[in-house]
Amino acid sequence: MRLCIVLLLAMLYQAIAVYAEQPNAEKYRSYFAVEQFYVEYADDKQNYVVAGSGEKRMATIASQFYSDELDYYNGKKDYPNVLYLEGKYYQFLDRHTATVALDYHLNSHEVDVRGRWNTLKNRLCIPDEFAPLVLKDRFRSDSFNYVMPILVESGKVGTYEFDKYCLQLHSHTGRVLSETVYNYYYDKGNLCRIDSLFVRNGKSSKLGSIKVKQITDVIPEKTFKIPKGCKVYAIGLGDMNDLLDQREIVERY
Amino acid sequence: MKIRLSTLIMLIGFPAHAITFAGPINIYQDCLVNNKLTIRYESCFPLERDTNRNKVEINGKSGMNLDSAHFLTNQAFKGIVVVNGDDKYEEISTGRISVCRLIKEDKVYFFSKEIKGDKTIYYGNEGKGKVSASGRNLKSEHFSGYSYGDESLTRSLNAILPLELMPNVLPVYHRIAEGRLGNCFSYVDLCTEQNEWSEAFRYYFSGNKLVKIIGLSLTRDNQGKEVPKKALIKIEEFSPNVLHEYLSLPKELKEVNRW
Repeated sequence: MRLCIVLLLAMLYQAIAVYAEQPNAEKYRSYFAVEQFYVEYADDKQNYVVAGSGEKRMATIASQFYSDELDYYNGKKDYPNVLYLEGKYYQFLDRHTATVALDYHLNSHEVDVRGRWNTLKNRLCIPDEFAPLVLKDRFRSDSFNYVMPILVESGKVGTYEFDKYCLQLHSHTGRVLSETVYNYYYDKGNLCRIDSLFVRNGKSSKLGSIKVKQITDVIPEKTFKIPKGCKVYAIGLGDMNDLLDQREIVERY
Repeated sequence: MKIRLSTLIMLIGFPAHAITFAGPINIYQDCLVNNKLTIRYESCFPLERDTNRNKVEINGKSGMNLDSAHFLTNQAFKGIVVVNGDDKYEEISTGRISVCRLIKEDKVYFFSKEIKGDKTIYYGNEGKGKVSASGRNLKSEHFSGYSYGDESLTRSLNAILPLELMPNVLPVYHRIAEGRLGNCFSYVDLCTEQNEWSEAFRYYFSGNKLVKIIGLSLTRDNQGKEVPKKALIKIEEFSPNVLHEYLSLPKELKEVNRW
C-alpha cells in the first residue's frame, strides 16, 4: 500500500514537472504580438534586420563580406531591401532607386517574374527560426495551417540556458512524419542563438543556425524612412514603356 | 446474430490506416513509399507563356518552376526522375536543351545541358562546366510535398500516397470512379476540392502498367474567375529500378565553392 502511494506520488511529480521557459521569451512574444519589434540577427555569411511597427514592415540584408560604399551611410546600411509602408510595397535596388507596387501587382501575370515580386511577402515575414515566438504574421501565406512549436525541454548547457521547442508534422492519419526542433540559447537571460534541426526517420539534419544580436521594441527612428534623394519608379506592367525600360518616377524623396 | 469467424477476422484485421486502391496503383504506391524509382515521361500540353517579358529563371520548389524558362514554353517536354532514398535527380528536356536538378545527401545542384551534334555541353550555375552546391531545405520539401520534376506529375503522384504517409498539409484526393475500357485498358479517377481550387486526375493503365495521366485543375483567381489548366503526361517508364548513373554529378561538371 505504501509502495503504491510512493509510486503514485512519483508519477504525479513527473507529470507536473513543468519545464520553465526563459522569462524573456514571453517578452519577445509580446513584441511580435503587438507588431512592435526590431530584430537584428546574423548567420555566418550575412547580417539581417527585420522590423515591424503596426502596419509598417521592413527587412534588410547586409553582407558581412562585401560593403559597397554607395550602400552604407556612416558605416551602416540605412535603407531596407524590402519595405511595406502605407499600403505599398517597395523594393530597393540601392539608396537612390526603388520600385513600388500595390498588393494586386504582386502575383499579377503582367509583372516580370525576374522582379521577384511574388516572393516579396515571404521576404517581409518574420523568419522561421522565430516560429516559437510568433503566433501571427500578416505577411505569412495563409495556405499553410500554422501551428506553433511547443516547449519540450528547458535546461542549461555550459554557461547558456536553453529552451527546446518542437513542431511535429502529422500525416492525415495522425502519424508523426517529421519534427522541426528549435534550440534557443540564452546568455544572461537574453536570446543569443537559435539552432534549428529537422528530424525524420531517426535522422537529424541541420536546418540552420543564427546568432541573435537583439530583439527589442525600441525601433530606431530612420528604420521605415525612405532615404533622401531616392527615386521611386512604378512597377513595370508589360506595356510598351516597360519593354523599353522607360518607367515612370512616381515618388521623390 | 451469428457472425462468421472469417468476417470478424477481416473486420478486425483490416488496417484502418491503409487506403488501398483496387487495381495496379498499389505497385506505384509502393515505389513512392520506398523512395526507389525511375520515371521517364513526356508532358504533352505545353506551358503557356505567362508574361510579356522573357522568363529566364528556374526555381525549384515542389515541382520545378518550368514556366519561368522561356525556351520551354509552348513546347512539349520529356522528363526523367530517379529517386534512391534521399537522393534525387530530376531532368526536363526538349531534346536539345535540358534543365537538371540533382539532390545528393544535403546538397542541391542546378545545371543544364545542351546537345550539339554528338557532343553534350554542361552549364552549371557558376558557368560552363562549373557548379556550386546550394543547401537543401528539407523542411520546405516535406511541407510542400515531395517533388517529381514537372508540377502536374508531382501533384498526381503525391495524390496516390497512402494517407498514413501523406503530410496533413497536402490535400487529400478521393477515388471517385474507376472503370475498364477496351483492349485491357482501365482507369482510376482521383479528385480533390479545396477552397480556391479543385483538381482531378485520371490514371490510365494498360493491364498493370501505368501509361498515362490526365489532369485538370480549376483555380479561382483574385477576380473570382475560374482558370483551367490541363496536363497530359505519357508515362514511358515507371519502375523500382534505380538508374544510379544519374545520381552523381556528370564528370564534365566541376564543383566549385561559391563563397
